[in-house]
Amino acid sequence: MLQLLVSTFVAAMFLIGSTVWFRAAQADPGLAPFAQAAVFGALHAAFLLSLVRDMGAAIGHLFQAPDVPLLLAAPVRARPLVLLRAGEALADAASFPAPLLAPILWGYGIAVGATWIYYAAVPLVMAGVLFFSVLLGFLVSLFVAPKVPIGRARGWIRGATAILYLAIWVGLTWWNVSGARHLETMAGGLGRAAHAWSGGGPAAWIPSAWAARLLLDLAAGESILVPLGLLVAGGTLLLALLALVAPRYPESWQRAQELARKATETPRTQARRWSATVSGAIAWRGVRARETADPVAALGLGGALFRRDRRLVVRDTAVLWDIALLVFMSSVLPILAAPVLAGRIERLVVFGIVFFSAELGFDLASRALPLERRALPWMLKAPVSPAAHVTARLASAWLMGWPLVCAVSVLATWATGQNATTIALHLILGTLVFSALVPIGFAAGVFFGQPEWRHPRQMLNLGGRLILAGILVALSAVIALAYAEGDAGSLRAFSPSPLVIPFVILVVMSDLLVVWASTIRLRRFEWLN
Amino acid sequence: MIRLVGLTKRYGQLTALDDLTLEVPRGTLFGFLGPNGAGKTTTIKLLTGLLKPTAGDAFLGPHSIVTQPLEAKALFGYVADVPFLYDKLTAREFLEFMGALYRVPEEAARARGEKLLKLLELDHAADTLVEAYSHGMRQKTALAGALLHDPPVLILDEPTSGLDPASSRRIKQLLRGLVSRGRTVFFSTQVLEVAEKLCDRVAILDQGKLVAHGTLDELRQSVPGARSLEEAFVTLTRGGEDRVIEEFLEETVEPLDLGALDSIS
Repeated sequence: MLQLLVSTFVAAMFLIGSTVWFRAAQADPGLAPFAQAAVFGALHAAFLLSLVRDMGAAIGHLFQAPDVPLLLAAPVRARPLVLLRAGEALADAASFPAPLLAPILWGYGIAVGATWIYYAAVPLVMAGVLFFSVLLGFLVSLFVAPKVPIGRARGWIRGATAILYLAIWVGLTWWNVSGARHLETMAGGLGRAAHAWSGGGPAAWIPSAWAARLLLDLAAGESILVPLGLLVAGGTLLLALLALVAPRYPESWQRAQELARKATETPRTQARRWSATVSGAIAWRGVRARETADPVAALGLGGALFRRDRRLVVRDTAVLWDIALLVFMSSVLPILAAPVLAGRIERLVVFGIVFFSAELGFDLASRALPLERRALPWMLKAPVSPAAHVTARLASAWLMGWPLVCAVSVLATWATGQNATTIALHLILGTLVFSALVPIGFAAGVFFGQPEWRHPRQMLNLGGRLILAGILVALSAVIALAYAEGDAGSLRAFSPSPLVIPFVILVVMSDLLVVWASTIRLRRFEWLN
Repeated sequence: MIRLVGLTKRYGQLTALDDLTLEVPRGTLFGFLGPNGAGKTTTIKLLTGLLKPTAGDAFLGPHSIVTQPLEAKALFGYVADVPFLYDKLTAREFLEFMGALYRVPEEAARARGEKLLKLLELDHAADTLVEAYSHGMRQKTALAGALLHDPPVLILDEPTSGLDPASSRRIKQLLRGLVSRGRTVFFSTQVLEVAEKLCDRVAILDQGKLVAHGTLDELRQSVPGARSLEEAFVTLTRGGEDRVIEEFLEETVEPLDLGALDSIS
């Protein structure tokens, strides 16, 4: 219910925002060409994102869904099976861009005073565009799956999606920082891009261009025969192609199983070499279990958790890419919060480091428990006290992220040509922020973690994600307020040094609080086997 | 070695386990039987500290799982009926982790881990990710993890389900061997033949209540006319199943001959 409310709220904001923007663009002769380009841009972006996403979804639907063996064992022909799966995938695909794309397109309709047919056509045209991306995803996955291990292929597709998201995010952020200066002339960067989106050339052959043209013509009351014909003909062609190759599906699935099996072989570990030393009887006293209750033993266990979690994260590309995407998106967030800083890169670096460390600390620690999925009881039934358990987890998350914080703080500061003292200060700042967010993140994982996730984004439920959003908004507000208040002189005079001691106290206090609260709340997972 | 005293677990109105009192002596292979939903897994979860009892207590050796959980947990190894493992670890890496979790010295853990992998015929797949394992291989990996610290008590939930006959036989031999060396094995099973052949003592649970316990002979004698454990079990838990089956077959399953099949094709 809360999810529905949030989605409705976001959609309403997009509708209002796009209506206002399109109205302003219509009224300004300099911006008018960008109104149409924005419709092309929105549909192109949705199509490209869906294309990459649906490749992964197609692999999931055809090769990884738990019911596939059951369906393939049934006396059902492959062709209707593949086409039905494509239909299912279309329903899934629509749920992704529709809440954002539809309000943008409806906003355009309101701004130009389109007739009711336009509003009714928007969902149909959107479905048409997504239909292309789903069919292409299915076609490609039928060819890719017998050649590349599907888990790996899906990981790379997720990576590509993450990079695309990131590119769009950075682009929007940069646009926001630079204001509308690039829109002043069509010869500018965005002007050229807008021209390319809506003009001829290769872009004219992308289905989203046909969809955009259809909607624009419909809003203007012109004939839609050509773009509609292209959409229908293109869709029919793809559908026919999919129907043609669909009988390959059972064979592709068999081959994909063989490849997936091979992909699970890991390189020989050090332990195998040690196996040569095994000889003789082992005394019971030599292997008997010992309790982990004291802090020193807990830190030792933290090392073991670190080694295990590093393997779990590195081998699960979906988790890895999800963390990377969220961390990088957060790192560029300060640019949004401080638009006046477009020319002051050294200050942006400071806030970039703060946001990077905050998000990484929260993200790694909050995933510590859900990362184990339903294997969590191995920890719960071991002779480890709840306090030692929590301490070990905090140590493990810290060990996993701190080297990254160091690397990013040092590199980002060094790359902007600052001296060694500043590098050291930034390193301390990053470490403090990271250390402060690790316990908060861990507590979010204990309270809001979900061991039965399918997509890494589901590791935390809405409550947990809202905590992170709240932290990032609060940080953004602090930065924005700091810059709104002071002039350039006071900005230069700003030094984080006096904040260090209160910050360290805050970190220690929050660590203690979290250890206490989390030890109690660990009982939440007792329903697991 | 294991003592359950008035162990009770309630979920709201539902009583999953009702005042269970039971004692399992050291060096015993103890079978815990009962129909689906009888409360076997709840008992095991209470015994291993995964659930907190509503009333009563469970003792492993001298230690209460409620008041001295760490000392009690150090004494047992446990395998769940559906053992969830870390899909992205190999069996060898899993054992390495278990060694650290139970603070077994590294060298000893490796040595015992390698022996367990070989014993359970997992050595050929020890560097393969668990996600590629069959149910039986997962079961054996979990068992290896539970045995790594050579626990005095082994608690197993359906240990032989999903295993091939050879593995099943090997594990049964292993359990008997462990018992003869003073370890105590407490396991739940639905397979009465396994319980009959393997166990020194059994207990039968039905709808959260203990309905019988003792040696196999004591159990058979306690049910008039019962010649086997299966007959005693059916009588003690839910009688009259034969009649239900007959009714179903009579009402819904038409006799089929080969001629009918030919006419379909």
